[in-house]
Amino acid sequence: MNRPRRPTLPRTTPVRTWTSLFGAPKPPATDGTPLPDDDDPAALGTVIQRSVELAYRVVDDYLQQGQRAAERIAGRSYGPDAWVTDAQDVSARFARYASDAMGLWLDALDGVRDGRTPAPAPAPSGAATNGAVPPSPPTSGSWLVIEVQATQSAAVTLDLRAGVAAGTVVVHALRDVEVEKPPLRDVVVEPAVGDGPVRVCVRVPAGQPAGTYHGLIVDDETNRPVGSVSVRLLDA
Amino acid sequence: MTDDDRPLRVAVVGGGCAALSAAFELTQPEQQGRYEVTVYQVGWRLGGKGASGRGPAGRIEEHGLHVWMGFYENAFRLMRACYGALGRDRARVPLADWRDAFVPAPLIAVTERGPGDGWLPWMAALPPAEGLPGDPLPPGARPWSMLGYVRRMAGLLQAVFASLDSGREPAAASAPAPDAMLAQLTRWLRFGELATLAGLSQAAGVLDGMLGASPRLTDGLVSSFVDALAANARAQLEARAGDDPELRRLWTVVDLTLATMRGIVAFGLLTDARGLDAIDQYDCREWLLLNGASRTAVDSAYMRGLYDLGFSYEDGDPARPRIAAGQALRGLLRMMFTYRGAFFWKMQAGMGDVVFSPLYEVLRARGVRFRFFHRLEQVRLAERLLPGDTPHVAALEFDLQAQVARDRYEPLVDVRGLPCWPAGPDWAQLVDGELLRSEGRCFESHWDRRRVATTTLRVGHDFDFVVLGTGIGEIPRVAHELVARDARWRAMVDHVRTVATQAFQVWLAPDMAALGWPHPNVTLSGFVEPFDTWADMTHLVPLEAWPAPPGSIGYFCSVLPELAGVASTDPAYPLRQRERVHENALAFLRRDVRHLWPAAIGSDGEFRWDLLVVPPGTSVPPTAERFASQFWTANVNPSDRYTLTLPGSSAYRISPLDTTWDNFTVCGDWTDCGFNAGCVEAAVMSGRLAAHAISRLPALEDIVGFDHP
Amino acid sequence: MPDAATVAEAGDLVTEVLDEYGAMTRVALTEYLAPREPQRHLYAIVADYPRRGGRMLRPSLCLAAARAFGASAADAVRSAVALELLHNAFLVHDDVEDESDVRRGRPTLHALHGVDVAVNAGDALLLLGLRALLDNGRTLGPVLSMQVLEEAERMARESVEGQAMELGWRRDNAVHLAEADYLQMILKKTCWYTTIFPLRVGALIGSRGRAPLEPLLRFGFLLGAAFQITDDLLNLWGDEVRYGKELQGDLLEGKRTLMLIRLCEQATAAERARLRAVLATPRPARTADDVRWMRERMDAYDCLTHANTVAHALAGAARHEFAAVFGSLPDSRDKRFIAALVTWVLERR
Repeated sequence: MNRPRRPTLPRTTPVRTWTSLFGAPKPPATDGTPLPDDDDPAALGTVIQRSVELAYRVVDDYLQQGQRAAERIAGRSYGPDAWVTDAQDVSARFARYASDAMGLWLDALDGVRDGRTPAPAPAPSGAATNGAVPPSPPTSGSWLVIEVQATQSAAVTLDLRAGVAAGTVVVHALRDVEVEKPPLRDVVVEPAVGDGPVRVCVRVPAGQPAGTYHGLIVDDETNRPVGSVSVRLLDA
Repeated sequence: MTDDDRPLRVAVVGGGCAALSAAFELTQPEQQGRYEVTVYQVGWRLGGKGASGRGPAGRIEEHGLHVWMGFYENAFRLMRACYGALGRDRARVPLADWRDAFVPAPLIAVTERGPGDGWLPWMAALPPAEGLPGDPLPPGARPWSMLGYVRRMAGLLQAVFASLDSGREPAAASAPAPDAMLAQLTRWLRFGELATLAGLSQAAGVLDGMLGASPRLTDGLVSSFVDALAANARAQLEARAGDDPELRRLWTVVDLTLATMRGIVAFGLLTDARGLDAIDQYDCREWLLLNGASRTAVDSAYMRGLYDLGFSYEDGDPARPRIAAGQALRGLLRMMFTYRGAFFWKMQAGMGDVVFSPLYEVLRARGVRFRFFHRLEQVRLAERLLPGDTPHVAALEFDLQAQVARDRYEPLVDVRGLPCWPAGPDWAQLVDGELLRSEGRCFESHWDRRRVATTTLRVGHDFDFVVLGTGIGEIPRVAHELVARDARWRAMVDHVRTVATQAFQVWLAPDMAALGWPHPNVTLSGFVEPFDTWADMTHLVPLEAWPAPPGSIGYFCSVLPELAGVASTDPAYPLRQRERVHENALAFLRRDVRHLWPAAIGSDGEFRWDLLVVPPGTSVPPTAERFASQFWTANVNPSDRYTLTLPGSSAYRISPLDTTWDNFTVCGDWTDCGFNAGCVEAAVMSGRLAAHAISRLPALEDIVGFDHP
Repeated sequence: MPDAATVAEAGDLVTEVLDEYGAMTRVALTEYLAPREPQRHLYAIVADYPRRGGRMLRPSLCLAAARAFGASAADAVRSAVALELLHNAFLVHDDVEDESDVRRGRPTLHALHGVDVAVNAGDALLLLGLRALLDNGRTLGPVLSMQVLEEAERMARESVEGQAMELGWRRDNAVHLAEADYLQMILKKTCWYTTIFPLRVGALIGSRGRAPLEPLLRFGFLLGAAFQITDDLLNLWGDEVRYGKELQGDLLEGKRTLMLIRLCEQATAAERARLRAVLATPRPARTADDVRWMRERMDAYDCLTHANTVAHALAGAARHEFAAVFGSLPDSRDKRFIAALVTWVLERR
């Protein structure tokens, strides 16, 4: 039976933004900016208006999100101690983003180079776990396990690229943002035994300064990074 | 594809403002007869929460007090179009034109604690504003923007400060250049020039200019400027106010205005794409406090009056005033700054007579069919969908409360030449009417489930589209399939809450002046519980049919608090609630009405029951017994309960434009309609949206205020 | 419309300020790029890109904004250095991602040293940039440096998200993108670190944290979007020497530019199918014929003209927003420089 249906509607929600958007004294002017020549001024006007409206919509939607973020941040005050802790937190997050970005690039790189579609990139993993975790149990990926031996509290984050097959890996020394801090060089990779995982053991020397140390995991055969590991050390 | 010649059949369930405005839009001439509309109505009369009836002596009996606000653009458009189509003969029918039916009432009043245990009315006559509500707007005009509102408020403050400064003229409102403004601002802030009233007035002018010149540039600056302005205004006014109640009231208004302005800027509402919805999680008072309003101001009579107007008490509990800040602010801004003609408009007869009989007559003339005594029992969804089919409503199941003896029920009665709705059904037009009457059938009661038959309407056979216009209180019962199947509907019925209301009306022999109330035609709120709102309705006397006309009429209403542990499923529930209202009314007349009508109290301190006017043929002694001859109601039927706008609830409302069900839409003041508050305007907007959902008419741009920030 | 002379003057002003602030940043950069043990070898590689020069647009924008809002250049120079370091880190990573062979007239870092060395160097640049921001604490005090750092963190997050969006499109071989998607992507991926972040950090420092940042986001976005679209256009119609990147490289990579999105929108169903097939081909298998065909179709549908118009429109809007942000500040060379940038992003070759 061909039932009549409700028509498709041009829109189903109120438009609450335009008036306030252009509520400023004059509409966004394009004067003062040279325009390319075009045969059809009317069509050109439409393109201009549309793109400007579009751009404002994009940035306004975005600002809303930003506003929420800002609300969270607002109202803090910093003493010298708070500054240090917060700066460490933010630096750690920053390093995480850097590593996430790297991961994405590598995934894409794989796909583009091999002409295959790589598995979806993992969602950027969250910031390093807050608070201390004991050196064991190990943090593990599907085929790779990280163990940290330290005299102080440490939190470990392992980020392995999805779709990377198990293999022999090399783990670079783990470095902190503060280049003066000695890197964690004592990293031993134990190859997989049978079906077991590859074990990566990071030994933290006594007296290692607190910080977030970050290292690449590289496939030994292809020499291509397959993931990263972060170790956050708290003060002893 | 449908046959082009066949009109599309629309079943409209419910006969309140929302449902009838949908029916009205679907049968407008521009629709060219594409829609064949049938309205299904429980009981004998249209009107929903707005239904009224004529009782003994032709007196008007309402659900409560209905005032129309001067910004009800959609509702007034509907009424103006309706009266236009009606073409009543002025010589034969009173209220021939909409201007006869609605009369400006510029006086607003709230009450505040006076000395001792007294109450003082606080009244203001708001100046007439240009135009009339429902006048067409210039094409493309958007008379409101958040910036515009803030500037209006700045202007208001300027005028207030200037008027206090021994009548000095407000400084010219011309905007200085931004650079100069900034310099000036810095000077204000630095040298404390705000500390004089003249300074305040000029500063408000600068604020206005600053906003006009570059709203985005100065968000932070505006906030700190408003703060400085507020601090100084507080010091100034508090120092001067002393015991002067007028100055204190003014300070309250200034305080609330400043907090609102600051909040609009600080919360980024000037540009937020969600408009005022962005702050709907807050309660209005809470938001004002956040933005620096003083406790005194948010607890003022002014704020109480505002909450009373919207019955904004969770579970009817006077201790829990709650209304979503965004919608409250939207209402307040529109109320204060966008009214046309007058602030209030009062109907010159019952709402049924002024609104619903004209709508009924016009719709009848347009070929709309009305099926009275139809109580919706279930909205049935399509169980299994064929490939390519989309979710839809398959059937509507009704109980038939009574069979109509002739081919149609004639619902109206004539009172002094005006077509009106009676307070009860015309039993003579019903099959076995006398029997039904003797059985005491209450067609409008949720608790009286008796029926004489059932009937089922099927998609394709009886209807193509459904507009569900019942109150939200009925939704869990009549649409439980929808609620069970669709999580959004479930969330909606959980979050969009209602409250029972109570009202009583008294007819008195003396006029208002003789009762001790010297002011004309007032609508007053913010008074005591159990009845916080009062309206002088004396103007209705000539329209009723009294052999010896009363000197005055008073309507009182309020929320009816929920009682803990009382089950509304008890069949005796409605009667018990009615008894409660009766008791409340007696207590109110004995204890509280003296603050309004001092002369209605006898020398023994008791209300003078002999002042109550009794309908002819009734004889009651002049004791409290006599109140039984007056009118009161407990609006406890699910569909009669008033829709609240609790903080955070709007997000759960479903829009009439929702496209989930391809042949079904909803309307009512409980839907997400752009003005999410319980009122005629919201109902009419939702009805117009429902019509748009089916026919794409009217255009959304013509639904005034739908796109309001 | 400004006359040609005004445009030329604006161009001179931009060149002059870029030179001056670029030099200032480079001097400060050496402090961070100075070789030090035990990573002498790595530092040489790390310092490669920053030493190749470049326009120093980001640090200059940051310095100019800071000064326009009232700070001294010394207060902002570390942040400017950080920006340049971060920018170079992104370039290294970008080049790896895009498999570009040439950067600023020389082989790319990964072409010279291999991918993992390049990625490591990119990382080191990021961390050095962060280091420079941490050093702000000494001069700007904890509150302000924290604000700057938080801006940086946000910028990094936004950039990653933008990157993820774009890579997602490539991975899914998306051909049904709308212009709004594109704008959203470049807002995050390009504008945040090219314009928004430098402006906001500059304004924060200049106003000691008091300037409202939201308007800068609007202005920065519109300016940055005009910049990015023009940049992509230059890739298509510029010549290799002046642009310093492979000509038509974007087409070869299948980069989702506004022109490509426009082409997808305008193309017939058959053309779209071919486009999809071409874009699905691994890059080495893409032929010069494919690239020529895409370019020819773009011309047939006026995609370049369209994108150019959009860039101009956004620049116009940016000019409007400029008045909202900077209008109330006293006149200065820095303010004029930022104003002139709006025109410059369109006119540069």
